[in-house]
Amino acid sequence: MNTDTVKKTKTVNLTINGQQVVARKGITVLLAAKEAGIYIPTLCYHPILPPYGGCRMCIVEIEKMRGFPTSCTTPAEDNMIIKTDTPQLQELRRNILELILTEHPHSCLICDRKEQCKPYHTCIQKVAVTTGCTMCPKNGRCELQKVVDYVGLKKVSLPYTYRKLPVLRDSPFFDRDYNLCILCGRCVRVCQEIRGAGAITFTYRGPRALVGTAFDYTLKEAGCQSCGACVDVCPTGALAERAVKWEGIPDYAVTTTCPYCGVGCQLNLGVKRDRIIGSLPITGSIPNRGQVCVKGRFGIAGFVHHSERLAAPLIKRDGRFVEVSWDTALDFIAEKLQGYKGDQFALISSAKITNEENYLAQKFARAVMGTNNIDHCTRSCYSPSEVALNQAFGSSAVTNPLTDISDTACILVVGSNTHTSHPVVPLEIKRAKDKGAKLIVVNPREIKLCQWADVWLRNFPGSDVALLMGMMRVIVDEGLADFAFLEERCENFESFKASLKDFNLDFVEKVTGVNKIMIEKAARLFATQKPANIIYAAGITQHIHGTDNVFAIANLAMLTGNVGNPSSGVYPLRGQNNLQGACDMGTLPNFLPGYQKIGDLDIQKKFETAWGIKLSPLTGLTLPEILDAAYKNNIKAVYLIGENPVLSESDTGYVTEALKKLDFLIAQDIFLSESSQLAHVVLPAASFAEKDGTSTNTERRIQRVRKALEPIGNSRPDWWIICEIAKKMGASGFNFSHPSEIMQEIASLTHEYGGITYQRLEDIGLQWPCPDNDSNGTPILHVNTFVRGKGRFTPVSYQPPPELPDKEYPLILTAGRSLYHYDTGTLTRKVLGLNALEPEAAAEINPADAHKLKINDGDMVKIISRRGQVSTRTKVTEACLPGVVYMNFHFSETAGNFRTDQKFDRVSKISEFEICAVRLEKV
Amino acid sequence: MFKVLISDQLVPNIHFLKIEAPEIAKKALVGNFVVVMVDEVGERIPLSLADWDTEEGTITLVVMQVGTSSRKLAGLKPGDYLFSVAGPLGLASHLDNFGTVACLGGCYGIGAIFPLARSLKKLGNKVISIIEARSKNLLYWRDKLEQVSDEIILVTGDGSSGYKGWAYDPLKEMLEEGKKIDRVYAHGCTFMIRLISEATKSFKVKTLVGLNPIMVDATGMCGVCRVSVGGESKFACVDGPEFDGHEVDWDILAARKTVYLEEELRSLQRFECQQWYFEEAKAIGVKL
Repeated sequence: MNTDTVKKTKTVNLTINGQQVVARKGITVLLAAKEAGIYIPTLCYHPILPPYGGCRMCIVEIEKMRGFPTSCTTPAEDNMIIKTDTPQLQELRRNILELILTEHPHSCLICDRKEQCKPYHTCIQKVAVTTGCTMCPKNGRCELQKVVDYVGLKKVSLPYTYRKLPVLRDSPFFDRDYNLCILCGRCVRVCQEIRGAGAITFTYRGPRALVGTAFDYTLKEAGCQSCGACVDVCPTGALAERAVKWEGIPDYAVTTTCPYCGVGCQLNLGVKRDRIIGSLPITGSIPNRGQVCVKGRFGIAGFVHHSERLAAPLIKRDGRFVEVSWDTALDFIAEKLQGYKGDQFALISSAKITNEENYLAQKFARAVMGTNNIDHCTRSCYSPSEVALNQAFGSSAVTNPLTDISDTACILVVGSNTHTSHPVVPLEIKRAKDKGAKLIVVNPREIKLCQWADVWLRNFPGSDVALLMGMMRVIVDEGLADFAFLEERCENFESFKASLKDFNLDFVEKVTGVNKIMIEKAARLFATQKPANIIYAAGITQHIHGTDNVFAIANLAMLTGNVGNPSSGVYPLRGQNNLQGACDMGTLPNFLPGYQKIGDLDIQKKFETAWGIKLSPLTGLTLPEILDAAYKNNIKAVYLIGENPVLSESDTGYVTEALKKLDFLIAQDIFLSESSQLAHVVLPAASFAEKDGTSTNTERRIQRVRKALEPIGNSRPDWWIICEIAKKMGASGFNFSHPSEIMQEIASLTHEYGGITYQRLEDIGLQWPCPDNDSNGTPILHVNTFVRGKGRFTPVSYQPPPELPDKEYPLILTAGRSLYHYDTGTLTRKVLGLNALEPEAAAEINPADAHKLKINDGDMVKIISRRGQVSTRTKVTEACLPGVVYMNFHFSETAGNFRTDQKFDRVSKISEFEICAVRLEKV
Repeated sequence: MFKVLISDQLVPNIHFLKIEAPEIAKKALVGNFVVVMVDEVGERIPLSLADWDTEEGTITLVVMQVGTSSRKLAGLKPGDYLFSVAGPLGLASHLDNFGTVACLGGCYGIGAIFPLARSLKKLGNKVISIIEARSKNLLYWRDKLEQVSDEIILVTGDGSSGYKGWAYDPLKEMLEEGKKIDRVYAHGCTFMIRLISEATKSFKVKTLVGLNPIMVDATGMCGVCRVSVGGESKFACVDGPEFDGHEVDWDILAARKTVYLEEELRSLQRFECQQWYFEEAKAIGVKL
């Protein structure tokens, strides 16, 4: 909340313990006291949870009120006179605590030798069953200890009853010792009310009451997503992260941005003895509101400290990698690269590295190597949005902040399995649903979001254009469009309207397989509930007609007037932590930093002056084109930074061939990935935890990445490596001693980042455009006018998928993501617990197909396409449509993108990842 | 290989093991200990003998699960084998008819005072056994000790059973009352035996304590277990493990015991995670 709104909000005056307190109206007595620095003990209260009033620790005395109200549930009102620490209150609290402690091992809590004990610890005391504080993983951080101290409890007059429960170890990440549970209900509430998982609940009643799963299921069976939210809210040692259970309090903590998906969650990395001992969410952080997913919570230290991290530069000699010094490697590269200047060189950058590093990567390609052949994985997931949203709105970025979703009235989620790909976004959707919003899900698979959906449209893969156009036809025909918005803010509506003619609902029903009544229902819902949001992801873009899909989405948003207002926008969710930033930084063949077009003379001049070199005016090659050119020997040297195209690009075999044909391949990565194994030189990069920088999340928020550790082994940050190579090649303009200096240069050359400095990003990230120091960023785009002026409608026609099933290949293979793994698995498969949750890929098929093919759940099958085959296990599930095989793409041995179609979208050059005709054969 | 015959949890974290080791049982004396390796890659840990049976050919150990090796030990089931048990090691206790003897035990030390009390009783002493725990549910072997003691005093930190306080409290009380106690034996954690030694010092009652420093080879070669007693360096393995508690330099002992705390933590954490993979993961259907 900014200062203006605070002033405008009404306040109340109250007296707490004789102290005059001014509090915001509407907050509770507990919060008012807390904000005034007055401590009231609590156990069941947690800032992220709604008030509960269960533990009765926060009782206070309020004049003219009967009894002892709980301050966590009592709203602060004007002229209240409150006392928080009278002898009577403390006595009551002690009595309540005594009751709680009859079932919590408390001998240490009330021990008369508490002070004496610590200096004499001579054994590690890390016992199997916690029988006292000194033996508890939470010792020193336990809220029960704090409360007992505060109320001065010295004696428990009632006997202790040991529950004799075994420690439950069914999660790969944490232990559950319900002998220590005080039944505050925080874990149950966070799981149900915040995460919407409902995996744990109160079991039994009365003295047998406990926290557990229904029917004693294992956590996984009960629907646990291993997000760890329960562990983070537990006030005692009942829930403890196993891998760092006994580490205690970290030496220091560093706030940084999660390296996985595009949400850009803020994390606190706890470091002890040069090791990360935890990655914890931060209460109240933006954009993730103190929530993270399993990968961010438990999947960081595992890869950062993995034994296979590259720790020294490697040069391939006689087919084998040999460790060399940095000088040797850099000299070798500098000398070799001199011979490949110009368009025979290409640089493939990464959406994983920071903005500063991406900026340097493109500067290196353009200024040192003299080519615009630079691209990154945006081509494989986002480029259709880049093209279509730019044409429609003038900017391809997400229009609104993620936290806006919770205030919306209707959400359309299409082509996104949000729970697995952007696991924190569904929490916003849940918040909106809790407030009464409607949810429309368009997806051929029964994804987790379907259980909250008001309407679920289960269309055939690849029929999104028809479905969206069908919906728009209903909206136009029934006069539900926002005509004022169309009139005032958009153009080209008529020609778009004409293109709707081809989409009568019978045709749409036939193409999509969705009952037209459902389509009408969804269309009416979306058009009448305002404000509304559209959320989409790679299910929309990774098609040969991906650009058309996005055009259809942009049209739908404009047609219903859902652009440029709070809680009404278009969210093309970015798959990678810094996909947005990599695009912003101009690691694209057709744009300089800040989407400044290659070929525009003024722009070219600006950069030539700034960098002191001549720039090539020719648009460079896109990622698939680079690989094509490599295959045809037109490109001879490639510098690969943090990418694994062998797995991530379509047609694995072809990409491998192409990379093998190169004269010179430099791979810079933190692990020896499938692609780096083909390289001539491998450079060990530092991970995100070992460097400073910024990354830009899916909502355009530029956030700090902070160094928590020194680089592992002899690895170096990517920015340092690029600078060193450039300097060795005699280039100027690469003399940077810290990434903040690189950001200064970025700010001086790009409008969007003009006002960005590290200082301003210290507390909270800023959303670009932030052109100068006076700007506080731009949360919502296209507010009064579209970035391009008027929003442009684009007529769209239906194009069937390129590969339709036939007799020989009767099924459609589609790909997706798992919650537990990330992209090519280079990071997540290094994390033992994530591997345990999902050790291998499985091809999902519908029971009907399974019956026909006589395949049982768990059988090994061969998936054969026109171009190749892989073997995998099957999972028979109703979640998959008949006629469709679904597989995620994280596993190299069953590369889900194997031999997918080598056809490109005509505009954005994205490959067809989602649809490929296959047949299954039982092995 | 040494077969495990009985493996049982006495109270939370305290584990009872009966192991087939006829050669050791044949030669065992009060005060001896054994060095155990649970598996081929395991560390060597010294453990006091809590009992032995020459006829049966077995020895008994009482182990507290505090770190990796003791976790592994407690995880053994009847029929499993220990990789190695070396012993009996150390000097035997010097036993005689002293008159009135107090045997104080806490934690795993309750196990060690059982054979001590039994022998002392046989020699005609009046044996007062005092056993200590933080809470009632952590006391064990009361019945066993009753059979070999003239008097038994239970002490709990939270007063949930018997005397509220610590083992030295009733002892001190008796001494203050002028009750004649000729000798004190104390076994248990370093903290406890130190406080007992300090409590009896002013009364000049000879107090023998079983020390448990870090130990490697247990034959006097490595010197890891050296302790400072009466200003002299002694090896707990061959000169002890029983020493005069009034002569022990407790600060040095405590400092030396904590040298590897970080490594012990690291090891335990790795073990708990690995154990999950080997035992729990399969149980919930994780394919490895």
